[in-house]
Amino acid sequence: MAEDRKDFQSDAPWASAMSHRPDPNRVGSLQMPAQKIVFDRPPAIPPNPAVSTAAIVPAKGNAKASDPDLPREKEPAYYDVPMLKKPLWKWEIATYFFLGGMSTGAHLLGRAAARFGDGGDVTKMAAYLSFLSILPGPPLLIHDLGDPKRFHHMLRVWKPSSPMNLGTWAIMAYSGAATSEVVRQYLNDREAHLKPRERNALNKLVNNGTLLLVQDAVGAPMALLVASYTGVLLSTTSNPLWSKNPWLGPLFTASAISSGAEGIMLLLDAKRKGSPADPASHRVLRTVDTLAHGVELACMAGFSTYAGEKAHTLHEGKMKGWHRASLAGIIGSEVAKYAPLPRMLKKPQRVLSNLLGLFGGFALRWSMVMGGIEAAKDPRTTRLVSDPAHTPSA
Amino acid sequence: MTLPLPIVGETNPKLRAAGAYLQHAATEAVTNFPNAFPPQRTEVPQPMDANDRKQIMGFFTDTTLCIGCKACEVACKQWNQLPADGNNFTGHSYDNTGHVSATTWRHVAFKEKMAEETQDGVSTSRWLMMSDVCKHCESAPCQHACPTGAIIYNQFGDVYVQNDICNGCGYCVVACPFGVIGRADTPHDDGHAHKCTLCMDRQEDGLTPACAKSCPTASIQFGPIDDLRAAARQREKDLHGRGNDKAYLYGCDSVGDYGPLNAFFVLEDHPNEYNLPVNPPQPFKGQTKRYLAGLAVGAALTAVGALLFGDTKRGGRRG
Repeated sequence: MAEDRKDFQSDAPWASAMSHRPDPNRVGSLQMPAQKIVFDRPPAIPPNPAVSTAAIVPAKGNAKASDPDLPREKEPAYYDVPMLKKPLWKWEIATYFFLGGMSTGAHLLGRAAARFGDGGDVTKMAAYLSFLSILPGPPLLIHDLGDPKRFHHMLRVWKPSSPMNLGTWAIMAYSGAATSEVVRQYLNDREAHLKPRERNALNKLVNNGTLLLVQDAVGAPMALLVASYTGVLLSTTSNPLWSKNPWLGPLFTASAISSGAEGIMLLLDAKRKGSPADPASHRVLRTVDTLAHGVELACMAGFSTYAGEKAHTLHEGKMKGWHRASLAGIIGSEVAKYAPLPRMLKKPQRVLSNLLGLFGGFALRWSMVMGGIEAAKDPRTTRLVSDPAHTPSA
Repeated sequence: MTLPLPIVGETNPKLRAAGAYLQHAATEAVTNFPNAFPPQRTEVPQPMDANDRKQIMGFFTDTTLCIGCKACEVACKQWNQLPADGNNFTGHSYDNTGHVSATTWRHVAFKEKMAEETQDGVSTSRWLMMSDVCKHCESAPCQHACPTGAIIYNQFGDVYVQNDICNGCGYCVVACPFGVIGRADTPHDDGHAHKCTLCMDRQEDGLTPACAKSCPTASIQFGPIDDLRAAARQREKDLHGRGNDKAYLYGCDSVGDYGPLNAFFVLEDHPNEYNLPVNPPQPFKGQTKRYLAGLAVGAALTAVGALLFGDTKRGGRRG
C-alpha cells in the first residue's frame, strides 16, 4: 500500500494495482506546505491606500454584508446571483396552510364549546367544518409531492427535529380526532330517525365519556400543533423572509383560530335565516375572533420588525398587494363587525365581516408562502439573511 | 397487471383522467401490496462514531491556487453521471453555471475585480476563482429538515442523500443557508434532492473524490478533517508570510451559527464576493421556543373561548 492509502482498507479487486499511484491531492502524501521557509517572516506589506479594502473583512468577527456606508451597487456580491435557492412550495402549500389552520381553529373552538359551554350548533358546525377543511390537506400535499408513495415516505420515520415530519404525524393524529368528532356528530344528528334500542347503543358507544376524553386528549394538543407547526416550518429555513422569525408560529396559530371562528359563524348564519339561534355562543365566537385578530396584528408588526429589510417583498416588492390584502382583510373584518348598522343589515354585516376575515387569513398564508419565493429571488435579501445585523444568531 | 378503469371516467375527459389516475394508483397499491413501502437499503451506512475524528473526511479548497480550469466540475459530472445544465450564457465572466445545483455539485466561480487604480504602474485588477461545493456541515440544517430520514451522516461523517428514500418535498432546499442542495425538477429528472456526496462510492473503495483527484493545482485537497485543518492553518500562515495578508480561512473555525465546516476554503476577499454567506444562520436554533410561542398563543385563545363558553352556559342556567 502506498503512503497515501494507508488509512484505507479497500477490498476493490484493483486496489493493489492502483497502489503504486501516488495521489498528490491527498493530504498526508502531499505534506502541505511543501516548502520549508527558513527565513523569518518578511514584514507585512502595508495596505495600499489606492486599493479600497473597505469591502475586505477578516474571517472572524461580525462582518457585515451590508455596510450602510457603501452604495447598493458597491456592496460585495457575486454578480447579483441569488445566494439561496428559492422555495419549491407553491399554491398547494399556501392553500393547505389556510385550510389546515381553519380546520384546527374550528375543532378547538367546537370542542371548547362542547366541553365548557352548551355545545349545540357551534359544536355541530365546527365538527363538519373541521372535517371538511382538513380533508383536502393530504391530497394537496400529495399533489405538491407528485406521488402518493412520497407522502408515505414521511411516515416511515419518527423525526421530531423536522417540523415537516412532526407535522405529518400531527395531521394523522388530528385527522383521526376530527373524523371521530364528525362521525359522532353525524350519528347524533340522525338520532331522531333511530329506534330506541339503537339510540341506547349510540349513547353508550359513541357519546361515551371515556371516548370523548381520549379524543380530546389527543385532538386538542394535536390541533394546536397542526395550527402552529406551519409557521415553525417556515421559520426553520434559511429563506430571507422566514428564517428564524419567532413571530411566524404565533401569527399562523392566531390566524387559524380566527379563521375557525369565522368559518363556524358563516355556517351558523347559512343554516338559519335571521338572527342566530344561540346569540350567546355567537357572541363568544365574535370575541375570540376579535382577540385572535388583535394577536395577529401584533404578530405581524413583530414579524415585520424582526424581518426588517428582508421583508422587502411584502412592503415594497411583488407581494405588497397580498400583504396589504391580508391586513385589509383582518382590519376590514373588525370594522365591518362593529360598524353600527340598522338591524335589518345585521346579517349581511356578519357575513361580510366573516368573509373578509377568511380572505385576510388566506391572503396572509399566500403572501407569506409566495413572499418566500420572491425574497429568495432577490439577491440582496439572500445576502442579508446571513448578515448578523439583520439576522441575530440567538 | 392493470385494474379495470372505473366506469365514471368513460365520457367526460376530466373524469376520464381522474379515473385513469385512480386506476394507476390502485394498480400500484395492489401490485406492490405487501411491499408498498419504500425499498429497504441492503447496505445501511454505519453511523459515524462522533469520537472517532479520524473517520471524518472533508475538502479543503484553496482558492489562491485555483486556476479556473473547471476540471473539478467536469470530473464531478462525469463520475456522478450528472446531466448537462443546458447551454446558458450568463455574461458573468467564464461562469455559465451560476451556482451549485442538483445537477452541478462542484461549481467554479469567476469574479473579475477590475480596478482603475494601479500600484507602481501595475494594475491592481485581479481574478477571484473558487470551486464551490457542499460544506457538509456537522450540524446540517438539510439533515435536520429532511422529513423522511433520507439525509444522513454517512460513515465518513459527510452529509449524504439516500435517493431511494427522498420524497422530493423540497424542505432541505430552503433549509440550506449556502444554497447548495437542489431538487432535480426537469421532466427527465427524478424530482429528488441531490447534492455532493463527497464521492461516497469512491471513498468506500479508498479512492479520492473525483474533483480532488482531477484538480491540477491541488487547490482542492481531500483527507481526514483534522489533517486538512492543520494543513490549512499552515497554508494561511505561509500566505501571510509571503505578504498575502488578505488570505483567510472560511469555515475552518466556526462560521456564523455553525461549527467548523467539513468543506472549507481559503478566501482572499469578502465571502459575499464568492456568493458565500458571512454568518450563515442555523435556522433550527431556537426551534423549540418558536413552537412554544405558537402553542401558547393557540392555547390561550382556546382557553379564552372555553371561559366565555362556560359563561354562556351558566348564564343560560340562570335564565
